[in-house]
Amino acid sequence: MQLFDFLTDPVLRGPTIGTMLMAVSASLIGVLLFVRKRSLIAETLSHATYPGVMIAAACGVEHLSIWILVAAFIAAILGYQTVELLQQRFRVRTDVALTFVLASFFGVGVTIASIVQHTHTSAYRQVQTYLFGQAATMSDHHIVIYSLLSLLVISLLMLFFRPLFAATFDKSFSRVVGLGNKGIEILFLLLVALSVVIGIKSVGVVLLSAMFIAPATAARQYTNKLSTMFVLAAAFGASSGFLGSYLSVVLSKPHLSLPIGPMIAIVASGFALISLAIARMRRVFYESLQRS
Amino acid sequence: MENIALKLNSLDVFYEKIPVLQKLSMEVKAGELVAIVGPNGAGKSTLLKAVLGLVKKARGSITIFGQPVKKVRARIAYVPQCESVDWDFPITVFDLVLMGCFKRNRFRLWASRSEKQEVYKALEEVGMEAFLDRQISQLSCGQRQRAFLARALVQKADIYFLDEPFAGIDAASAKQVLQTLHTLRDNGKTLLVVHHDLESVSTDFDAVILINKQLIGYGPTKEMFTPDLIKQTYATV
Amino acid sequence: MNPYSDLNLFSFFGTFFKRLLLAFPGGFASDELQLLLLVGVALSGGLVGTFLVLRRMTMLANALSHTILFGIVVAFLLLSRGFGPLDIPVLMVSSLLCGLLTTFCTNFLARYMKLQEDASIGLVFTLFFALGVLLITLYTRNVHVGTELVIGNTDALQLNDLGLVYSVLLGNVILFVLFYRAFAVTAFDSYMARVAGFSPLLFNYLLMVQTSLTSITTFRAVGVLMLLAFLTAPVLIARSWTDRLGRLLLLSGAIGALAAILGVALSRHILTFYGLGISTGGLIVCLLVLFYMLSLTFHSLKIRLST
Repeated sequence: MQLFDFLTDPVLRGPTIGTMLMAVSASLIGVLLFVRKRSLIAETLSHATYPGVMIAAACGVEHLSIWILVAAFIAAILGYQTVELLQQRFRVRTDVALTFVLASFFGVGVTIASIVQHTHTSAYRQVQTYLFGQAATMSDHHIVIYSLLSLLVISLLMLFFRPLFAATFDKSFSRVVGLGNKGIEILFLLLVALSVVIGIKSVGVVLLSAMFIAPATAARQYTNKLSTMFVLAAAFGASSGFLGSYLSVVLSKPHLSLPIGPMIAIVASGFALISLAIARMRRVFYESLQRS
Repeated sequence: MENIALKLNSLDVFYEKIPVLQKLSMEVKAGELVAIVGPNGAGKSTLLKAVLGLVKKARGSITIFGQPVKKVRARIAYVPQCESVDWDFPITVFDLVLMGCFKRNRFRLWASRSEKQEVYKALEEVGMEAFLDRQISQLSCGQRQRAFLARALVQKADIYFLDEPFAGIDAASAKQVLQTLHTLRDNGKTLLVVHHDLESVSTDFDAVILINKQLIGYGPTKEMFTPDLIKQTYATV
Repeated sequence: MNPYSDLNLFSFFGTFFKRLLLAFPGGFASDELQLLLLVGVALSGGLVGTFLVLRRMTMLANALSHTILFGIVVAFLLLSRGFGPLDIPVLMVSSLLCGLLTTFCTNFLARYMKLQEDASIGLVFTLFFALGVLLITLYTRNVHVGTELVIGNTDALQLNDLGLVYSVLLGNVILFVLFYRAFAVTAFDSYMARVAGFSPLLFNYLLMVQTSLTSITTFRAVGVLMLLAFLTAPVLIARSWTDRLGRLLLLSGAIGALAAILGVALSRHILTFYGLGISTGGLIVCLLVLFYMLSLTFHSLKIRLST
């Protein structure tokens, strides 16, 4: 099986390209989260989508895939707003707020799931795959949707690069100069929710945060410029998506199939760990140079 | 050119029901280098932040060049205190100074040639050309202040607010900063500087604002910076 | 015959107390097992959770809830190559090692590799969780097992689990009572703690060990993720009513236990009246959320009325 087949073969290309696109959006937004030191919000938001998708299943609508994405989007936004509310209004510390929202939203989701399991069994089964992802069943149809969504994320990032940069690095500058702080915060929220939603089908709710954290971590080790960091993170993300899909197929035996989601997460983490090691060696090297 | 750069009318600022600034009213003349002095907790930083909209004001009106602040944001530059930024952020000195161009060109992705020229010029003005590609965490406090000042220069603002720009920086940087401030003043810009070193006020600044929760005095340094008024400012309230 | 079939909320409690007085003839009914077990989990959760929140270690607990999957899977692969009856000492050792491994790896990345703290935690738990899921799928060919570990299955509880829960609870109580001063000081002021001769680091590790053991007792019932609700929600609720450590501990435990009791009773009630088998764990989390919202409302009212 050639590497190139993964991009062209009708069965393989869906999962491969789909996960690559997902990984690119998640990595890009992950950079923004990383520099704000808020990487863990991705985990909370991805778990928060669970009740959303379960409600979508409960409603038993046609074109379930679209409604799942919409419901997940709304749930992610609700989750984000709840965290903000707890932090600002009720003075709850960030880590506690994140953990609480994660656990409570997920618990609500589990409760709804237990009802839906019996009342809308087929919808339930479809939606349950979002827990660990089911990239293997992605079709060309999915590629189209994800390409469009990812393109949306990328274009918004490029268009609003300067205001986003300013608001992320120096909020007071952004406010004083009038670069539209409030609008940028809303944009940021929408981008995070969007990239979470794009990701849950491929990697699943539980592992999605790996795609936000690992590529950004890897990218940071090679550059001091934010713009370069975006490019590198996207590259790492896309490679993880590709390699993850490739390895999951190639390493599978007839009676033993490796799931794509975890493979992608592991590859991405691998890139991050290797990059960290390289950065450390570089530091040690320069320090020893300085001493001599 | 407008005469009055900043006008405050009965400005009140509270922090959790405790008054930080009370009934501040003044008209600051344009084109001067003004020092804002007062003891710790007098509300000097708060004054800056309230004017800039970084802190909620409770009552009163603020106008800059005769207009509400939000209409003239393109003409305002702010150089904050040394600590208030995330130094781990992946940003080079070049990128930092480039931010000064953001308001004029919001949707550009890369720096244009003219923008690059402006950045180089501003860095030369503050003596930081050598640090173009340096990550900001690698700079000393004085170098950081100069970088932020360069960003303010690129903004081509008409009024500058600086919060303790001389605090904790080396003498060479301080000299450079003062030179730049004087050049701006000579070009007709208005500068308000929160300052802690009383000795340099009479020699380096044109006017002074004495403040301790309330306005003790505002006017040319020769007139206002007298031992009596200084004592009054620093007396514990 | 389950003495709780077809009961509603009130008769549930009636039957429970009747059977309690008779010392549970015929052994524990499954509902009783659930109730007692979940109360035990809630009490441990309230105690350990209070310190976790005060000690700013909730993210570590979050990470632990993911890495523990990896630990459980590895333990079983090394032993039995299967997922049959779960061997308790093995579980406890593996969860302990997981707790230590998580803390160690996170610190390694943060200090040695100079990675910012949030990314260190995130990287560690996602990697281990991914490895855990991979191993599960490889060796059991059944992702449902993974789902059960994440969500739990209250209906599959056994007497062994009850013993485990209460032994861990007892252990927690003993440790907290014995080392109360130390925990209290390290929770609030590590500098003072060091001056007084206590090592905050040691107590952090001890707290992680307790969290790991508590997690292992809960994952069968409510899964690893909802444990986090037991660790954070009761403390959050109690926090707005008291500042004193002793009361926080008692109140958190009580709130958690109340939610657990109501949850089991309510789930039976719903089964009787609507024929719906709702997840008891999920229901308890919903109740905790409800309690929190009520608590916030009453608290704001109280503040508004007193000014």
